[in-house]
Amino acid sequence: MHKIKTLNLYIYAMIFLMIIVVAFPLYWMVLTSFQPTTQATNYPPSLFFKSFSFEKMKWVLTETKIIKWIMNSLLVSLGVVVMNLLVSVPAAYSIAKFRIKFNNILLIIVLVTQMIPQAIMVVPLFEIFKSLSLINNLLSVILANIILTLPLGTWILIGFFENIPAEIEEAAVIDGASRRMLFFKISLPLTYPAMITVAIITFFDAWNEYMYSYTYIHNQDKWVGTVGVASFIGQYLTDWQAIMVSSLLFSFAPMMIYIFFRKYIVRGVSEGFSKG
Amino acid sequence: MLLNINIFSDFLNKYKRFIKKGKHYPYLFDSLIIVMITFLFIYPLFCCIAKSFSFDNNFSFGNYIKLFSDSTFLNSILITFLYVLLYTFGIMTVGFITALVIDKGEQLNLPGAKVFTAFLTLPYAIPDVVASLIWLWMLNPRRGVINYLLSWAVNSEIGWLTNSDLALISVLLVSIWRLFPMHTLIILAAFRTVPTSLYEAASIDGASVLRQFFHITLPSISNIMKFLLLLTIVWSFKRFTIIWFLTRGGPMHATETLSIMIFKEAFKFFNRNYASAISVILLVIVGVVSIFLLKYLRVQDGEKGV
Repeated sequence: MHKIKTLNLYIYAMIFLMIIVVAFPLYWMVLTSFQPTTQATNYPPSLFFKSFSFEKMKWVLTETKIIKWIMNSLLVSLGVVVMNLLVSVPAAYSIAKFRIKFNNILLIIVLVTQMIPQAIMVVPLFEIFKSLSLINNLLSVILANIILTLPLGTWILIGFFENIPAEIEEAAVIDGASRRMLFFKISLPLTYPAMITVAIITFFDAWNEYMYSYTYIHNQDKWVGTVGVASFIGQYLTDWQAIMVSSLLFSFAPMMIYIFFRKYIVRGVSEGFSKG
Repeated sequence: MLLNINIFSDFLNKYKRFIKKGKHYPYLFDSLIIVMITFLFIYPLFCCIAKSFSFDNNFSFGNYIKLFSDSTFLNSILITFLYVLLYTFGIMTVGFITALVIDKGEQLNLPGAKVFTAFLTLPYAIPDVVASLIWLWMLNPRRGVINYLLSWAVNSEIGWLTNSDLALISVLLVSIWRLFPMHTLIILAAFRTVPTSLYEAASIDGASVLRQFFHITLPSISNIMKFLLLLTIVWSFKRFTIIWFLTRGGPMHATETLSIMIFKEAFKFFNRNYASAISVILLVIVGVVSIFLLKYLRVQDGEKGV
C-alpha cells in the first residue's frame, strides 16, 4: 500500500511538471493579452494578473481586419472539409470493398501523396492556379488544401469501412438491394462517426495551413487567419500584445472544437492506428 | 469502314457486359479522387520535374550541377537530416513518456487523470502560426519571459533564436511542444490494444512490472510504434511553418531545411526552376528514406500494402 502511495506521488509530480511546460505558453498568451497595455510587455514581466483590461482586444477588433480573416479561415476550412469528405468517402468505400488491382495502385498513390512535402507542390500549383486565374481566389487555397488532407482522411475512412462486417451487406444483397442502396443506406450511415473524426482533423489541418494561403492570396481582404495573424510581425514589430491578442482570437475556434469534440479525435486516432 | 464499326460495336458490347456485371462501380466511386489526384498532384509533380530541367530556357542539367556546388544547399541537406533525426528522437521520447505517465495515472484511477490528459494534449489545437508567435514572444532575448525566468542563473540575454548554436535546438523544442500530443494519443491508444489478460497471466506467474513492460507491452505495440516512427520521419521532412516563423532559416542558414530553402528560392529570389530542382532532390530523399524504412522496419499491415 505504501509503495503505491509513493508511486502516485511520482506520477502526480510528473503530470504537474508536464502540465506546466505544456500550459505555460498558453497562459502567457492569455496573460499578455489581457493586461493593461502599459504593463503587458514591460520588463521585468509580472507572472500573474495584477489588473485586467480589454484595451488591446478592443483595438485589435476594431482597427484590424481580424474578424474578416477568421471568417475567411472558416470559409476555407469548411470548404475543405466538405470537398474532402465528398472525395474521400466514396474512394475509401471502393478501396475497402472492391478488391481489384486498380484500387491497390490507387491506395499506394494516395499514400505517396501523404509523403510529399508541401514546399514541393507550392510552385507548380501556383502556376496552375495562375493559368486558371484563381490567384487571389480562396478556391485556390481550398483546392491546394484538399491534396494535403485527402490522404489521411481516406486512410482513416478505409479502416472504418473495413470494420463493417461483410455479412451486413451480404444480407442486404439477398434482400435485393442495389449497389447504390448498399452504399447510401447501409455502409454510409455506419461510418458517420468516422466522418466526424475526419471532418475535425481536416478542419484543423486547413485552419493551420499557411504556405499556400500566403502565396496564393495577396488581397488583404481575402487573407485567411494564419496570414493575417502572421502579418502582425512585420507591421507592428514591437507590439507583442496585439500579436498575442490576435493569436488568441485565431486559436479560439480550434480550441473550442478540441474541447468539445476531443473524443472524436481520440477515437479516430485509436481506430486509425490500432489496425497497426 | 465496316471494320471500324465492328470494333466499335464489339467495344460497346464489352462495355455493356461490364456495366451489367457491376464492374464499373469501383471506378465510379474512385472517379472523384482520381480527378483530384491527377490535377492537384500528379500533373503539378510532372510540371515540377520538367521545370527542374529548364536552365536558361534550355533543357539541361544545369540546375542540378549548380546545386551540388552550392554550399547553402549542401548545408540544407545536413540541417534537414539533423532536424529530422533529433525531432524524431525527441518527439518519440516525449510522446512515450507522457503516454506512459497518463496510462499509469488512469490505471491507478488517480482523481483528475482524465482532465490532465485533456490539458496535456491541448497544443494539438493551437495552429502552428500561433504556437510560433507565442514562443517567439517568450524567447525574445530582451523582454521574453524565458530569459526572465532564467535570469537568476544566467546573467545575460540569451539569443535563443539568433545564436546559431542555439537556434536549431529552440526550433526543435517548439516543434516538439506543438506536435507531441498526437504522439501521446497514438501511443496511449497502442497501450490500450494490449489485452489485459496477458498482464494478469504474467502477474500470476510473478513477473515484475518492469519485466511485464519489456516482455509484454513493448512487443505488443512494436508494430504501431514502427508505423508511427515512419509517419513521424516522413512528416518531419515537411515541416515548414514553425521553422519559418521562428527563424526564417537563419541565423546564417543554421535552421534552413530544404523546405525552407525551396520556399526562399521560389518566392524570395524568384528562381522557380532552381527551386524545382531542389524539390526534386527533396522528393528523392523522402522517397529513398521511406522505402528504406519500409524495408528495414517491415511494417506489417496486412493487405494495406503500406
